[in-house]
Amino acid sequence: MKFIKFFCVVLLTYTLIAGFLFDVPRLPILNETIRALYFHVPMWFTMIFLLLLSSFNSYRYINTGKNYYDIKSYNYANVAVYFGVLGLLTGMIWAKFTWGTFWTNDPKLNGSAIGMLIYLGYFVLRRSLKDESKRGKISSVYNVFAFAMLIPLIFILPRMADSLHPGNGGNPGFNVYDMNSQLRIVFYPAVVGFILLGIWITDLRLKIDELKNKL
Amino acid sequence: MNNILIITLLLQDVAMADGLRSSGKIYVVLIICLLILFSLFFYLYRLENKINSLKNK
Repeated sequence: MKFIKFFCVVLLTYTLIAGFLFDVPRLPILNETIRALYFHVPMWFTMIFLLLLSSFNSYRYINTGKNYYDIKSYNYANVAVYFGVLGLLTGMIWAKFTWGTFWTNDPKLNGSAIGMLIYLGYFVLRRSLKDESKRGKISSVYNVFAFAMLIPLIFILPRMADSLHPGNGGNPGFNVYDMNSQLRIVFYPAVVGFILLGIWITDLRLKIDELKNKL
Repeated sequence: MNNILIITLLLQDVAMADGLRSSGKIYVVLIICLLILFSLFFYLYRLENKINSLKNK
């Protein structure tokens, strides 16, 4: 955990300094808002990574039946959705000033919104069940399925349709037109930094749940 | 056709915040954002200490 915190602080400090000051490609319409790439996209990467950990822990719960894994997967999903909401909001602001509107009926946007709703359903499901083992089993199966739903919604379906969002509409993820080496040297550290921040926050939540269990 | 469109777009003079940088104001924004980031780290650190002290009780 100490290494995670240390690298989180270092990488995010670097992200902010380099993200604001380094040279970026000069593109029409985007102008300086291209720097939002360093902050908007890592939100989604963090969400996907934490949800992957969440569904992995649900899978382990189904295998072992240990309540600890269920609590872990719940907390990972919780922090992941927080990052996802930040991703939606930052994307909406960015879209307002480049596409001219907060929201369009774009497959990428709708897909990510549906994905968020699926996970909100997970939280509602958990709250509705009082019995610990029943809650663990049902919500774990739901959680594994939810992640399997999220991948086509965010990554596959938007690529099969036309989309305003970069990296979609038949193109592979980040191709030469979307990203160059100037952007990459800040973007990848930013992704790792925000993922580590997500792990840090989840760790705090897990410690609180551990204490609650003892009381 | 698409490529020609992209090239003509790229050849245009794109407005970037050069003036902001030369007058030094971007550093103000950077300092503000760094302050927010570090206060967030400090907050998380304090929170963790609080939880740990509860745990040791």
